[in-house]
Amino acid sequence: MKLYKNNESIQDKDIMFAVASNTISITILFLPRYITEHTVSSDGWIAILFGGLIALLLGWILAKIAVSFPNEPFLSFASYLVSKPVAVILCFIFVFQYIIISSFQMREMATLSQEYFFDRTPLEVVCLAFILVVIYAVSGSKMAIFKLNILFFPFVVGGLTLLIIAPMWAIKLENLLPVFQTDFKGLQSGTISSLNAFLGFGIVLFYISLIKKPEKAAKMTVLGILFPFTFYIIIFIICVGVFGNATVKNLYYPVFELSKIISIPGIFFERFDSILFIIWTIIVFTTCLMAFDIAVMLINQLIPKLAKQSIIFILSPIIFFLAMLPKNFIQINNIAKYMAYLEIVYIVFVIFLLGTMLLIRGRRTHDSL
Amino acid sequence: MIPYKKLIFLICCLPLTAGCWDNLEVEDRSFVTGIAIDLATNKDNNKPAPSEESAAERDSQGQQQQNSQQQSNQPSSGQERIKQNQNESSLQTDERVLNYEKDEDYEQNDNNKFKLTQQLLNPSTFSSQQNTNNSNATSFRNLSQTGDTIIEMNRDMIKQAGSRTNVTHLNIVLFSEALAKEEYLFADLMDIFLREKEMLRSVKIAITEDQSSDYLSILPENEKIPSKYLSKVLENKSTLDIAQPLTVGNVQSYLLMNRSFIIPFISQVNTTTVNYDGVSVYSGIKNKVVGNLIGDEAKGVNFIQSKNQTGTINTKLDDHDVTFEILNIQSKISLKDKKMPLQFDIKIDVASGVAEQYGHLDVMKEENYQKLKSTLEKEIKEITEHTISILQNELYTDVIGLNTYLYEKHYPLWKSIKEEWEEGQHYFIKSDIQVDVNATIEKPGNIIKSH
Repeated sequence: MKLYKNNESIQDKDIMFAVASNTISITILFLPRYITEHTVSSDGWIAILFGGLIALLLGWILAKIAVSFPNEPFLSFASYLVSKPVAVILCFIFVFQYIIISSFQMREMATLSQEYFFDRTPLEVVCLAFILVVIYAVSGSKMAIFKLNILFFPFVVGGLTLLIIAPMWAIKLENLLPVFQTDFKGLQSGTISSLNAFLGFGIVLFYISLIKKPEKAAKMTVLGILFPFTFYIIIFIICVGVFGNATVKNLYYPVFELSKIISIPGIFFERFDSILFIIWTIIVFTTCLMAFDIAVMLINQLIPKLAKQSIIFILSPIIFFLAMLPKNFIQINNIAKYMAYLEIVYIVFVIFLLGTMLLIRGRRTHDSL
Repeated sequence: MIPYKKLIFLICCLPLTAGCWDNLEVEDRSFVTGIAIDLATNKDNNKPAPSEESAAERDSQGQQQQNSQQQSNQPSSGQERIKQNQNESSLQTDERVLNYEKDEDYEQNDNNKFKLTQQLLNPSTFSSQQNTNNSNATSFRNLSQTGDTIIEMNRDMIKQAGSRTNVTHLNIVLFSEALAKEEYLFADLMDIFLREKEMLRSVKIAITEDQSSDYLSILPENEKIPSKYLSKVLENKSTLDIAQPLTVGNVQSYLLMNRSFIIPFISQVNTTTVNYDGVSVYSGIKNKVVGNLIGDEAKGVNFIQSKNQTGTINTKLDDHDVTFEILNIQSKISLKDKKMPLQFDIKIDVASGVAEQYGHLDVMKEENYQKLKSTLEKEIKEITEHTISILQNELYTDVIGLNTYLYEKHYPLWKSIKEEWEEGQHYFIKSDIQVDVNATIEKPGNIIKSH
């Protein structure tokens, strides 16, 4: 059984699906809460708009950097731009970051399932079942991951569209008023909070090297970000419209609560939240899977001698262990917050560093490869 | 060898496919459809009472206690009873304890704050009843328990219920008026209905005139479950003196914003009927129910808030009764003057029809039409202004949405006075509210005159 092929290549439109599925993660479930903390009434959509625009810009630059070095892995072109030792350090931080993302997503998923469905099933069992599937998916070829993204995409879009349409009747105009009352400081904090939900575009830095002819990759990245962008704004307005700003601020998972108010008559669909739970699982699965895969890929670049499967089997207990580490919801919440800030700072730093070096040193000519 | 190894491996995998860890058969659950919460009224007669005092007498005492004026008398009578008990032999006392506990619902602790009554629905009996369809045997049962928090009482109740209670189909929560008038209790008790993961935010809330647990046994002949009946009563939209159904989710947003709001208020007529009397006024500042608006007083709130409610208005024209059916209400609040005292202008547009008319008035005549119109306008204006004056002068509470209006349309102003709205400077009480009513009578009905 051959699990790893070296000559894998993907289309540039695959990047779009990958970015979209990776960006929409478990964060969406509490995003409205983070944003209403800083904003008045329904003004949070402005914060998401700013956050989204910044993300589009960052994503475009990031893709452009990666496209400048077609078919070249991250470590290789980063070494060219900022010298080998710096590139290795950058690489290590990325590995660290994606391991944490992976385990955080898994832990949140398990917490959510325990919160709403399985009272007595231990957290460890839910996580174990989840990570076993993730390991299986990572062990396969990268093509499979991208194909899986495309396969899941219609379901995700369908589920989220239902989530948008079904609670429309419950929106009260009085919850959305007044408009434009948030001060600059509130919008600023709200923008940073929302930017956190867009950070999934970071994967383009690593995945564009897999595209054979990445001419359209930057455009596809932007399109990939646009999908969660519009979705976040709509879901935020619906969330505030249904519950009101003060309530959203005080709901642990506002978006999940939203799915709970939907009730479609009929036996199977009466509790809509259980149907949507499948969608949340898919969303978390793709995000967790790609984070894990990038961590494996980067380690593989750092230590080429180590077989991919060995890396997976070394990493998976670590991810599982990290997921079990937070003892309570306060720690999880804090981790989510600090992690978001670190990620934002780091990705901006990397973009700035690689971008300026690219401008200074220029693209690599073919003969110097 | 290899197939055997595979076989053994597969057999080892079998336990993993056993399915859900948390599975619970539907027959093993009992669904809670209604909850009633009261103050534990037996604080003082919980001590072993002489057996001559029958349960009926105790009940009457319990009712007396709801009248808050008489509450101060109660402890002394309780102490008397204790003295009586001391004279008796311990054996007799023990006997009486036993008798006492048989009489009363099972209650275990002296100093409990609340009494929780749950209506449990047994799915198995319910389905069998549908099949046989002969007995009017109860498909529900009510259980009571006292305790300090709802979840604690609920867990204690599982000991009685014999099966796990499930709240996913909870329909209605009743609070007694006595409880709602205690500071913070209503808001505190609301917590569990929001925090518990299985609860839906659409659970309805109502306040009952007396002991709310009694309402869970009111069963009309055409209904099977009391809480379903109560829930239907609350969903009524065709009278004006009642409110929209208030859900747990609404309450949370009101409480979080320190808003005052109205809660449906129901009273018991007889053992099979309840009456939807009006609304209770909950003050977001005092954190308790401060009073009730009954009948016409509650109509005023509906005229101002115009929430898709229809109903009738009774007026007198030349000593004859005329009743109008209100078909549609459109109201608009505007702020005329931003200086203190604030001047509000409430414009109410009413579309109506003549529903019933005594005497022999020709409704087709222009002058009579004008007369009817002005009577109706005057009546609505009076009702509304009366409600406003009660709210401003007696209850000091804004449930007509002026606070919300300021928040939505005049946010900077609202921000500067939000602390002083219903307390401190009392801007609400001081504000000047003008009511303008414009009525149109759209339909005369089938006839011109009946006699």
